[in-house]
Amino acid sequence: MSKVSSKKIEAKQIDFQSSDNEFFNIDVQVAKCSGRIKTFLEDCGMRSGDNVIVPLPNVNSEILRQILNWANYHKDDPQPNEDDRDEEKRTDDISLWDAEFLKVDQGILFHLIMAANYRDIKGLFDITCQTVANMMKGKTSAEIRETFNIRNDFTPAEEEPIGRENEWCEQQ
Amino acid sequence: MLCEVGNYNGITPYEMWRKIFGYLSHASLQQVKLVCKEWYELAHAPALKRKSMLVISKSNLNDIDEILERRKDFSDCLTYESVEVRNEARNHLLYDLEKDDLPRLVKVFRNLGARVLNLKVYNFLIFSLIQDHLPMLKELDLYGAKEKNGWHAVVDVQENQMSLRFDLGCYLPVVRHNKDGKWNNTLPIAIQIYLYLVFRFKRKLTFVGLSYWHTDDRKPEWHRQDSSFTCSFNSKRTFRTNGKLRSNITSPLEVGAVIGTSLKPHLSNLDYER
Repeated sequence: MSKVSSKKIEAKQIDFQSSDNEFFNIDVQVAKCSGRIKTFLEDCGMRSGDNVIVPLPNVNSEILRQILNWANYHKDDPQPNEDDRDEEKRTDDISLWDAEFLKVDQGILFHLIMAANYRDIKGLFDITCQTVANMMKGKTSAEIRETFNIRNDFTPAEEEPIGRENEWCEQQ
Repeated sequence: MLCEVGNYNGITPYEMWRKIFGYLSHASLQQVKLVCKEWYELAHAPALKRKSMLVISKSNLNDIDEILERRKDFSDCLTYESVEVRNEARNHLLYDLEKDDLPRLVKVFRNLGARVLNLKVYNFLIFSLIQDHLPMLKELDLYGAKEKNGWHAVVDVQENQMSLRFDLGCYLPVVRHNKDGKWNNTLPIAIQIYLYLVFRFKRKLTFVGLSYWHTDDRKPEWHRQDSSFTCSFNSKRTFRTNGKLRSNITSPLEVGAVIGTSLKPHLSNLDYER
């Protein structure tokens, strides 16, 4: 990892340090995809020539590389509007690029969710959650269990009234 | 400069799954409930339950009653903000819910009614029986309720509960001239329910998009009138109505007069405001 201070930067770039001590030198613009890091940088009051290193002790280099890849692609996207948070949720509005990006194994997908949530990367958090939701669609409870490797802890006696409750409910 | 952003104490699996479940439809959530106990609990978050409604009908009324009586732990799961009392039209009063079912239905609502916000019923009588157990009711859908003359109406109590908005897409077959020029003021049961609601909430009541059919003896054709008017009650129980009927055949006061007349026993003052 080359020290960024060697190039004269106008605080345009910062370094991320992954949990496995890999350094990633990135544009501030990209870093600001994360609401949490954006706030942090603003609070810090970065000055020109500052060499900012942000350690990310919970994100390994593999996940961080993925996130930065995503953030780089989306860096010019309009900022998500706070008001949109309660918008009716849809699972079919994932762009082709994102869909391709999210063709990863389940473990990575859940790591991305965790990291996106913790770093407040709303766009990434939304599409990763949508992707997991899509993995459940049209599946029976048994198939869902198999997909996510979940143990059925219901006794038949417990399961029965739930089945009935389901029969009594309809879509709003 | 080395800055620590914070230790990892991010999302709990609960929050994550809840967010994911938020993208699922009612049908998928039904399957989620059956996956494991933890998910069952999660799927009952109020925001997720809003995707579903409980439909009470002749076929499950007994079962629901039994579960509510015997499995108190389960009654929370049967609490839905949206409930429909469904019955197939058979006769215009009770449909297929028999007279004997009604006490049971009332009992069910005594258990479940406290958190019902939206209710759909097809029968005015049924609503009148359960209305006392619906303290939180915000929206009452009587759209499917039909009397002989083809009533249907939607009542929408606004969010802040400061006013009731009645959207009456209904026919008012009672509003018509008698030969001696007086109004026939036999009120359909639906109007009586509206009045009950007005009294119960004692708040401003706005009729929006009221359409009714008018006929007179000389021209036995039905004319559709679109109109809106406002009725409100002040603390002295003065009834005010502010009509905005466009028609010159029927004045807004005609509807107001019918309602007002029936209210007379409850009112100290009857005041029509043009």
